[in-house]
Amino acid sequence: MAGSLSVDLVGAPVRSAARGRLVRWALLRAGGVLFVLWAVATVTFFALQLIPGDPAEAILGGPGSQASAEALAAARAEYGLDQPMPVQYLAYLGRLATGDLGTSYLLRDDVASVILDVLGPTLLLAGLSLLVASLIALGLAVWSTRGGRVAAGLGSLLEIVAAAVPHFWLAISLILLFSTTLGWLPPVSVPGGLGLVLPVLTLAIPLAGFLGQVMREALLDALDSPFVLAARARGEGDAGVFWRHALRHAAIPAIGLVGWAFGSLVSGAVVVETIFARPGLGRSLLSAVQGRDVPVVIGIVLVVALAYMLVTTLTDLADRAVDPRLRARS
Amino acid sequence: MRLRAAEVVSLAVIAFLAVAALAPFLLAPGDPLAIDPLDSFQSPSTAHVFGTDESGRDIFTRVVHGTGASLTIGLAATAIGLGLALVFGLLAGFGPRWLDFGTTRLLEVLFAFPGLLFALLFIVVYGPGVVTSTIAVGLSTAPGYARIIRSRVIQVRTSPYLEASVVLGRSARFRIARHVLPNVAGSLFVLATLGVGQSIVWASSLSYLGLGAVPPAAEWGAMLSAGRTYISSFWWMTFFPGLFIVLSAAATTVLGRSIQQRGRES
Repeated sequence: MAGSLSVDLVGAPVRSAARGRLVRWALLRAGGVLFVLWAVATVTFFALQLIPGDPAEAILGGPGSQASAEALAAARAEYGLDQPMPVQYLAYLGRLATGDLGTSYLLRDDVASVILDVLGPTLLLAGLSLLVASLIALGLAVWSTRGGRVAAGLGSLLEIVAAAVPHFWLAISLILLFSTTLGWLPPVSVPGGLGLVLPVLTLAIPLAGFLGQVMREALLDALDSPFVLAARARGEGDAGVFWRHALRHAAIPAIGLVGWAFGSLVSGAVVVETIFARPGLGRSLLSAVQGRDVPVVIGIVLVVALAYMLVTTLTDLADRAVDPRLRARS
Repeated sequence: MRLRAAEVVSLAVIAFLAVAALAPFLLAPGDPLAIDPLDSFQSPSTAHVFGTDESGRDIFTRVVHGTGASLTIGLAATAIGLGLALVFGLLAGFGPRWLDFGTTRLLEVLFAFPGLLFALLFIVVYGPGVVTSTIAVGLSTAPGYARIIRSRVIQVRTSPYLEASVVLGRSARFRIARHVLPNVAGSLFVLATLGVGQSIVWASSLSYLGLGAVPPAAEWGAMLSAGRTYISSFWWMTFFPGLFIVLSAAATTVLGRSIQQRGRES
């Protein structure tokens, strides 16, 4: 009885306080996500108002379409372009709130379904690339911190060159090597696993360069730190110190980079999906930009912003899981 | 001060690029736009080190003459990004609390346009071209720089010597000019060296996608874009301009990193 009482006295308040902190953090975070989404939608809406030319004309196929005055008026009425701007803005926000992203000018299709169609391939590509990049970065970082002077110099040079390579050039070089010369892999993305190899490598290698640089620095930093000395003093072996303590420390800055990595993957997807003729969000974005298909551009920008906010929120949660100092502080 | 091998190589690459940008005729005396249809699609040889393109133009000459344009785009984009970031960083770090709050929220919103997304949005509005793509790259890099500069400004503002300056009755303008800017300048320089390479890569990506500089301009991204059609048979048309992008981006990164390291050690 006395035992359980002491647990209640000490354990419960601490636990509920921790839960309260987490709930408050989650509410603040959700508010922040909503604010950013609203701001992104607003910035995008007003930025696109600056496009010169008549949007009704763009809907009907651009200045070359010679659309009649009646057709223009009909298009304006259909898309609500004859309303005053504040009304258009509010209607736009209202539609977004219900998940309605409008109709594509070029594809004459619901933007939400256009995006849903291409979201899967891009998520697969980006997810695999992030995984492969993390593995390469981890391998490089471990090899260059444990492999002596030559490995250290060579590893850091490899990382810098990998980070400096533009996606499109890497894609071209990989196609030249593996498709044109060796004939091992298809130069365009065919369905199935083999067609994914080159696109994934193209996205993963520059990312691995960036992640590797950061992880190596954090590893070296960790190996010098007091907690590693303490672990050694407790009699922990070389391998134990490295894998259990130093590597965990090195994961923290790498996790912090995930938000940035997301941006790199999205930009890279635009290039990679275009070169490898792969359906996806990036390729749809590029063709919407080229064709000035405003609803699709807005839709993709919003989806990417939402995904970015989700990724950074997950990153914060992962940070708290890996780094006990963050849990104690907030 | 001992130079490491990577630093020596980077300095040599940068020196070569500087000569190519300032006096291209020293390295490649030919005309980068001279057409010779009888000499088209030649593979690399002693006469044409990097081969020729679809109109028989010498690729080495074009790459060398394109250095100025490509580096200018990279430098201009970095300058735009850093300039904006400095304004944001000073406003947030040195201004009143509400201004810091507002600027930080604004940066958070801009961060939600990751990577090239903001650049693409800008290009939708203002149309493709060299100038818009340069500004677009500068704008997309600004939030990242601004966050770093803001934290540096706050670090300086809360330092004892700045407190002393307040006690001495110095004006805000004096404190910014005398204490904050010189202290931020070091970080700015490192950010600029690290950023130029990234800007060149991004701007050339936009050119490659047909949203930046257009052929027949002898700019690296535009050359790549033109060579894309012939990629399977005439690899040298895209390989060599790309190689120069990688070299310039890697060399500036190595240099930026070593400046950063030396600054930390001393």
